[in-house]
Amino acid sequence: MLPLEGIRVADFCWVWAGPYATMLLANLGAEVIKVEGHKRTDLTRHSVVWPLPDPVPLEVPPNQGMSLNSVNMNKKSVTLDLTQPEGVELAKRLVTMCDIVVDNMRAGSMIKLGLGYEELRKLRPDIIVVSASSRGQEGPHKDYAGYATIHQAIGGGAYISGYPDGDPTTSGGDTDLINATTTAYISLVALYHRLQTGEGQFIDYSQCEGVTSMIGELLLGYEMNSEIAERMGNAHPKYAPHNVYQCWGIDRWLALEVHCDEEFVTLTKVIGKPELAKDPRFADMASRKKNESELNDIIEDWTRLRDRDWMVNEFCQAGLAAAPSRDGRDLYADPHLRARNAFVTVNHPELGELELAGDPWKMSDYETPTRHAPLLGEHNEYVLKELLGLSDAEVAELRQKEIIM
Amino acid sequence: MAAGALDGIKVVEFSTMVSGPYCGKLLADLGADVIKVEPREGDPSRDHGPFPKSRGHPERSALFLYNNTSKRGITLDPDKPEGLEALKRLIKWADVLIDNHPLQRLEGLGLSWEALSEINPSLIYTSITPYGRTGPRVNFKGDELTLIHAGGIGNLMPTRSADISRAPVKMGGYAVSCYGAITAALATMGAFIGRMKTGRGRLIDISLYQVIFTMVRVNVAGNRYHGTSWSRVPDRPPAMGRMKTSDGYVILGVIENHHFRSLIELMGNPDWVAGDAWDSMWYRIHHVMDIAPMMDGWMAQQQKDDIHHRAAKKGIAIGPINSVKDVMEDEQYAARDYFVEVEHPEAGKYKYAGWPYKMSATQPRVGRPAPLLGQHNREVYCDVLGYSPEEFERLKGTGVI
Repeated sequence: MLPLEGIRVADFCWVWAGPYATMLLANLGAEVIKVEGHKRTDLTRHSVVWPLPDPVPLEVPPNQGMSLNSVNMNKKSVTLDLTQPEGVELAKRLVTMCDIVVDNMRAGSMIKLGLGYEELRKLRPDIIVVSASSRGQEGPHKDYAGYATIHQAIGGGAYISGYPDGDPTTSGGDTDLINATTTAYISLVALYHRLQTGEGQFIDYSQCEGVTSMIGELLLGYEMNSEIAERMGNAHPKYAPHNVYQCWGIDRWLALEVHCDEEFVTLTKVIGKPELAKDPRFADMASRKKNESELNDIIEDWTRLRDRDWMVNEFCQAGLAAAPSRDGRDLYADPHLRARNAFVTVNHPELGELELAGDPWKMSDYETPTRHAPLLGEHNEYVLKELLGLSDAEVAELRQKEIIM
Repeated sequence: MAAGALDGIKVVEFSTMVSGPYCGKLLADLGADVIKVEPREGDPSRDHGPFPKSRGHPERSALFLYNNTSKRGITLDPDKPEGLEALKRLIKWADVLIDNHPLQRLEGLGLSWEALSEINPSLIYTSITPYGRTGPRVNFKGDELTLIHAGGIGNLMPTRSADISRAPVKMGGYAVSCYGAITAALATMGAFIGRMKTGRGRLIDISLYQVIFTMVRVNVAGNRYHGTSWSRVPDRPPAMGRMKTSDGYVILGVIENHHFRSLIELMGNPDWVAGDAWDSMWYRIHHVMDIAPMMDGWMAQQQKDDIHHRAAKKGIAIGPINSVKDVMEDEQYAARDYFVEVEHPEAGKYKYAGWPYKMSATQPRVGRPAPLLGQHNREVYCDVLGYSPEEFERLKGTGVI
């Protein structure tokens, strides 16, 4: 049995940060119902992933966007036009049958739609509502819009990433996905509290703060000594060598990190330069850190003439921490991910078999569900008739009024 | 004090550095009773800074202080028979065991998953390792640098680096560990809620590598099925990404037509974007390189905070690239009471980063500052594990504690 079987979630999310949060809940067994207006669908339904291919095609038919399919598996879809009072009324009826409501719209949007927490708790007093906005529901910047990279910038993550002599850099969509993971976590914390006490609540989540809470030690460091944490490239404040090295071929790299003297001795043997272990420039961690760039040059002289994956294997077998800097193709081909069933195969009605990334965890007594992201409105009949108890005639009327698709 | 959401959940944290401890903090700040087990020399994170005035001191490490709030701390040497016995008693007491040691550590002590669930059949065992507990790389080492590159995020950075002769670069801070910790906390809560119905424990196997891989899930799928390029080179066209200001940088996100229209107004309606053609996203994508130098030139004359507010008030998605100082001084964070003041007996009183969630019924809090090394030995060994004062003194004498 999946851990969240019997829990139902109303999902008013779009793009990445919200939808992935509810997908994680769906993977754990919750029934997640994705609510979209069919006139204003989740824009990932037909957008392609950046960076754009060339020549630029740019849109795929609805249901076929890879973002949508990657972060909406195992959900059900209902279309409701929330700009119409009847659409909102149906959404409210749906919420009364749910345990958790999640949205990632601009702060206050759910209130404007008539679906704010105060409204919903009148219908279901123990409801849990999680609103994951850009800057949070209160404060002078609450109305400002943002995306993943903007949250990473505001939260302090981008400033410290990149080369010391280069520009700060964002990573990308992973900021949304980790905020989604935290959003899913706090939703379950609230669910646990409700299961214990019967009490629901409202959770106001700020995606900018989600970034900041992951670099708490650097903020505290600034409080302690007024030193601003700067970019360090691939280097570490204490450890050396600790870098990414060029390998044979074009744009091929491996990462290597050495945390103690013993590992350094091992490294010198693997690269066939055991004399380095006795070299006073590299005798201990402090001297290696001091002479880091010389050391990096020596290592790279060795790596740049050799095959990346061969070297990584040599390093790892010898007991060192090393890895290729993998791209998408490397990840698809990786036997370790395969052995752990990190990919799942879904059968998409329009696209056929897709191999997509599965759960970020493995668990005992658990088999991840592998249903494709729902087609737009795929579960209209189920939601409206089975859950809400509408008749065929009522559904037909809604369709005719374009409240549903 | 209001009740914590996780009051009553008992957690043993047998973990060092960041991934396990941050997972423990996520639970502890919400009310879980987390007992942190440290070796007698202390969690190695006590040796990592930042430190006040950069002087090392095991009770003043910002890394340790931040990641270990709200916990009780004990010392325990599991390699001594009496220490192992005490660890087993803790595991029997606990609902959750968070362990971020290599697989061999507990198995070497005879504490395989099977043995653990025999001691405590309802135990949720959250294991965090570099590559997970199965698969060909099960015994390989990995940490922040290697795993961010292994899992694919590193390879996408730095964005808009036109120079592929320079290596891809990691994210700052302890991103891998934090991503793993949050994922572990979510899986743990899922398992815990499931346990309420079945009473049965679970093994949760968190591979940090796999966590990072799942964070590039969309890029991986787009690369394979849409043919989008996988590269740190392109980033996004100008006006959709990092731009330099006179005093720093902003990230600008202009997608929809009305956003670009607002931006044109902000720029003072220059000639080079005159005409209705620019009201089409497709036209902009094809022609934005023509105007990129002018846009960059305009942005270079702006100040990051000023343009942030002026653009954001027009509905444009934008944000400054903030340093930790900028974050500490940010009016939005202040208005939301994001920071919490924590007084630690050795380190003193500082403002700490808080939580991204405001909860109407069960607000998280720092229940107590990070523990001094062995601070709660007596109360845990005697009051929780039931050792008599004499037994406790004997354990101290044998070097277990």
